[in-house]
Amino acid sequence: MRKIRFISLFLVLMIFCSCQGLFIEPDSDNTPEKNFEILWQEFDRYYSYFVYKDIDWYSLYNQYRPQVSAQTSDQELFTILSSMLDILKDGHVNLYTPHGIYSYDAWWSDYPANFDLDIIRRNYLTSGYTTAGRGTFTYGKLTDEIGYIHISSFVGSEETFLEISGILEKFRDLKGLVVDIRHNGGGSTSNSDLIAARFADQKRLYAYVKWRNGPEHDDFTEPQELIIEPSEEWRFSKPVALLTNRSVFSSAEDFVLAMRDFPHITVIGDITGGGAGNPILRELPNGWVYRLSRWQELTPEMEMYEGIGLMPDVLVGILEEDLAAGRDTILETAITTLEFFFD
Amino acid sequence: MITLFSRHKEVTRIFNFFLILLISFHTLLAQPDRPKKNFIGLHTGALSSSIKDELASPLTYKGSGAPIQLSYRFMGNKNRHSVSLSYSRSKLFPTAELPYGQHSLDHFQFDLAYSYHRFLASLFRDRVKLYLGGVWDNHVSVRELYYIWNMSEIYGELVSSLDISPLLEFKMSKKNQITCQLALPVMALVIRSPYAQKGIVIPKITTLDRFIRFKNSLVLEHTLSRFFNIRFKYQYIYYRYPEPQRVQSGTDHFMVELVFKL
Repeated sequence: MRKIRFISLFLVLMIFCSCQGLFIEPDSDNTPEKNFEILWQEFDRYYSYFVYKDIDWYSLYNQYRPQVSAQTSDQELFTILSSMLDILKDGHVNLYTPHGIYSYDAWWSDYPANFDLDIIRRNYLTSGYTTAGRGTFTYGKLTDEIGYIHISSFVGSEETFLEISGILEKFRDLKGLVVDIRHNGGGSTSNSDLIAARFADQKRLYAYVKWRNGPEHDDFTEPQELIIEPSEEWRFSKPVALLTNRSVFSSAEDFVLAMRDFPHITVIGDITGGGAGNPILRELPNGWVYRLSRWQELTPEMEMYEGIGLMPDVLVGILEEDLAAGRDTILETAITTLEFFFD
Repeated sequence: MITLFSRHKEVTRIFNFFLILLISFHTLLAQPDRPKKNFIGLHTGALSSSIKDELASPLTYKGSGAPIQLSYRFMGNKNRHSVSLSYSRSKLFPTAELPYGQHSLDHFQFDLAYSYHRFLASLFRDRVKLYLGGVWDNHVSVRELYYIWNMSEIYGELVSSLDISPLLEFKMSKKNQITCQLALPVMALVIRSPYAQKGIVIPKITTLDRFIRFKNSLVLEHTLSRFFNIRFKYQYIYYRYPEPQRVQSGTDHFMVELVFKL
């Protein structure tokens, strides 16, 4: 009995001796000022485009910090932080709060849509269409010789994107293919590479990235190569038209970069959105989540395209009246271009 | 035929090995008054962990998990040797409630340590014995941080350190003993996640002023029988490293160990 009492006493002592968290600096207080400070500081430490975009982050602190006080409401804080982040003009910068989501949309909203999948389904895929990969792929035949695949996103599991095999198999005997990534806002580069590898003629360097790697705004790693390698499965090597518009963003632009150097690919449509940031997520003490770019991506010619976009081989848009009439002039240009290659 | 013969020889050799092993064990165990010097222990229990890795998040992640540890101790008259191998896995969450789904962190820790302690002094008629020695500790912490929308990042450190370590044994009664141990690194080799996630990892040799850690343990050991002891162990491990952004980690372990004496 004495023994049990002694052991129990020791166990209780052990629990009270618990040091967990004793030496770890506590999190910042959940106050409007601290939340502002942390968000500002995290961007200062990790955001990758201050110098490129010629943004004086310290002057923005002086401009916005006085607007925040202990009395600032959550809604007001959201407005202040959103206004400050909007100056970055970066589609990879977001703030997710219960009071709303901040995102910079001008990279696509200030431009014509140049795309309506419904028009393609109704007026061009006249022999019918199929979807696959949980709706990621829409495909069918445009003519007896030309297949069509729309890829709506690069978000999802690898299994989803491996479904491209079955789709390409259906088009194996056709003379050409339209790969449409208009309105594809990106996702994972490993998924976009997986698809691009099915078209690759050889191993190619398609971009460079420089990671922010220090506290100074111009601290970056040496450029690291992004490489696309041909898939070990059979590859589609006949003429392909790759369709783009302003809503092609982030890893969808990696897809364009990877594809555009293959000799059988012609990029047709509008300039892409210009999102070259590879974002990370972070939290604030009040639970709000924010996203920021942490690398700079460059073309193989070492040119930055963040906020600029990638120029297609054939620049073409869709007039409002054509769209209203159910015409997709980008797709029509693609069909004409492919038929030219058949001849 | 040759194959069959060689196989038979192999089986005989294995059988002989186990026979010798058994006889050796039996001989060891059959010595009633021989003080036991070799201790093999298996620990398990619970842990509670806090991590603040400013490379990954400005918030502290907290949670719990389960450790498992295998150890061997040699307790000579004037010295103590021990080797321990431990593994733990814990699930941690940020201190703030997030509006669009909670982030979480899977924390894996591996540790391999060898320690040597030399008798220094005894007090209170040998009831308290003081030792001083060193620990060679190899610690790996791997943390996979899961964000909303199935995004994840991996952070972590590998630390190999030489520690200075005082040890105190307090013989409470014939069957009960309390042991306290502290280990403080003098020099360490640290490999830490780079500032840029995909940057180059450069190992750094660092000293006490940069890499701060202490590992302390409090153990109550109770003799169950001639061959078995039971140990109740509390251990706290804290470390802090400032590069490339500060990481702080604190873990409480509450463990029970079954010890087999040879």
